[in-house]
Amino acid sequence: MPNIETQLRAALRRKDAPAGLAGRIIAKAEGRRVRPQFAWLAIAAAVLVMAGIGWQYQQERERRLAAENTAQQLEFALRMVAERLTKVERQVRRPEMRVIHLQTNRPQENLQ
Amino acid sequence: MKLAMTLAILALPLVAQEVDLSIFKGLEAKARETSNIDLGPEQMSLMKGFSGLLGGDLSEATAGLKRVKVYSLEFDKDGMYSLADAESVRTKVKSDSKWLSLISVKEKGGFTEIMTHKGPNGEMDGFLVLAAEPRELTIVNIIGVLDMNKLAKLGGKFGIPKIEVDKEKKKTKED
Repeated sequence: MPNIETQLRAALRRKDAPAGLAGRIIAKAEGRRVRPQFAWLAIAAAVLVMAGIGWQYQQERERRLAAENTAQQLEFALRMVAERLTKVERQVRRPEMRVIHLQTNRPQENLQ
Repeated sequence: MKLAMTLAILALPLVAQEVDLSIFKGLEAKARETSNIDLGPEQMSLMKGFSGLLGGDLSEATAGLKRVKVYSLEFDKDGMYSLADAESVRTKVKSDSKWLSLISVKEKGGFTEIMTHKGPNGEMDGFLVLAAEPRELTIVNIIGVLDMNKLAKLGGKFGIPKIEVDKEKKKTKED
């Protein structure tokens, strides 16, 4: 038993830190500190990436708007064609209307 | 000189199915209402790149289109444009044997001409509506394959009026 006590005392005996340990730790920590110029570079890269994503999103949005606009105009054009065909068809049916020419071979198949 | 020639070439219609409408230039100022649409190949392909913009049927009917031009003017009174100019466009188009007259109607103070352009393989690769009325001038020039069967089926959808071509025939058959 006393032997154990002796061993514990020996193990827990206060020892001074080796000379120069504090200086070495401080020097190591300073070496790991991020240099300010690298921090700015990282921020600039992040901003660039974000700007790129934003620009791409905006481009895609503009393309979609242009495509939607085209689709609307195309629908309008087709509506005009259909309206005109309907009108002409009514005109052709009117007995007083003078029809110069009515081709009934291939194109008529298209109308059916 | 070279520049003038280049500009003159650019001003000419690019393809045979494209109708030259430069004769009507400046008429917009006299019109009460104007619709001027020119959808080129780039716009058409851009539109096709986004699925769902056109309904499925409409998308199918227009899949072969390359260019769509609409020039429509409405005037407040008669004689605001030259009917002779419209007739000259019609005559010029008709002089090309590849343009086939589908329907030609003449009425007082105007006419309506609906024509299709025959492609190299006999398919319809161009379409023209030229309607001249005393107070209205409408030209629709479509370049590419427009499936009229599918278009006719779209009647009543997308604001496209119902084309009732068969109705009268069906009635007659039923009688």
